[in-house]
Amino acid sequence: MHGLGELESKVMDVLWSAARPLRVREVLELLDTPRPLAYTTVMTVLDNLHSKDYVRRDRVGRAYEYTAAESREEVGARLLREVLRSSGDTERVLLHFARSATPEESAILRRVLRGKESS
Amino acid sequence: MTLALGLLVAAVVLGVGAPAVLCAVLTRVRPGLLLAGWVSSVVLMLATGFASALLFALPRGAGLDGFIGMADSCLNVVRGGEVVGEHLVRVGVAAVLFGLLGWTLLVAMSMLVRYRRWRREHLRLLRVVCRCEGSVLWIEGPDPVAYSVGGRGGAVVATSGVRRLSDRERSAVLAHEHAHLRGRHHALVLVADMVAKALPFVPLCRRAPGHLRVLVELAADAAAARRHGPDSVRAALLSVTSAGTPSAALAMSRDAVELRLAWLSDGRLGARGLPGRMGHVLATALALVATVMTIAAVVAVVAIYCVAVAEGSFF
Repeated sequence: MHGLGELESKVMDVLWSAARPLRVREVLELLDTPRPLAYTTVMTVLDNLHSKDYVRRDRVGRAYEYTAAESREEVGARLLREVLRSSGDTERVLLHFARSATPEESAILRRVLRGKESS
Repeated sequence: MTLALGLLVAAVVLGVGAPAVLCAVLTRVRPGLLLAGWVSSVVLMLATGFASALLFALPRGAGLDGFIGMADSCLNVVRGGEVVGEHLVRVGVAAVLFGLLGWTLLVAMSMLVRYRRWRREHLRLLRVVCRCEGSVLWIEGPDPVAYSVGGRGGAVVATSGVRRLSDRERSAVLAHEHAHLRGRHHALVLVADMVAKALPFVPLCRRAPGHLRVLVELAADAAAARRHGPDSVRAALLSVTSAGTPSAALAMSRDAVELRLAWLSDGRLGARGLPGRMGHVLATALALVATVMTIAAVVAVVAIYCVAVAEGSFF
């Protein structure tokens, strides 16, 4: 199962690991995939990543050179912020160690506790 | 008809009565067992509702012919002709029940699709951004934050802030999150959210998400406390919530954290209860007993009524 998203993440990995801007040909060479990919495939993936604002590109001569728009750490921090904002969101069930509780949940907790103290 | 009615009443009793019972025993039963109680009540309510709808729609022994006869009877209401009252009631009740169940299925499927899409994208991004060590994905971040994403290929995610906690605090935090994964807590909370969104007028469904979210935290705390001691979990909770900038979300959780701390200081927490699987079996058995008794009661009432009527006609 190698959907486009899977490939996109591998390309980002290559760009993050490289310390300098890369051309499509160089990304292709550095990519570690079970089967060799076509040049145009990688170009399309980079194009998609560019439209999603994950990469920046600069024209150098007749080709583009690609760099990651944000560092790995910055993307991680953004992901984490998003997670903390949405904890408790019913469409993204993730259980957070010190999650915020709704008043209803606090009330339930209080009842659990009251029973323990009285018994 | 009698059995169909019994099943329907059982579904209603579960939907209305189960939360009252589950709340009443809130303080006396282990969170893991209660969790199983909520989930099996919801599942049983849906199952009895479905069985009841099926029995209402299909008259006994008549199969498809009976169904067509009933449909005919209903059409006669419009076009004029012989109308059998029982048929109208049967079709009406079955239609309402199937409608509710279909609606629930529709809501559940749409939530599941959206949740899975988000989960897949989130996990993929995490795997690129994070350093994976064993079963934990480590993400850069000064504040100690830990969470888990459930399902197949799910993961525990922790910031470098968690790495800097003391050994036992870190172990407790990770054990808590692993307990969520092991207990399939994400799936349980998702199911509760689904039925609450689809059938908010059923007390059991409406109250399930709040209770389940609290119970999964307590169950995970208990699991972590059994492995690393309640004191480690307490220390971890304190470190995680007091460190870093108090964001709005964390400030709100202060109250809940205080309560979890107090709960953890209870000495019996670390005591072993029934193993998890046994807990599920026990809770399901209890809910099943209640269901069967309700059905039996309705059948008995109807039978007594029939006997009384029959005797009345004899004498």
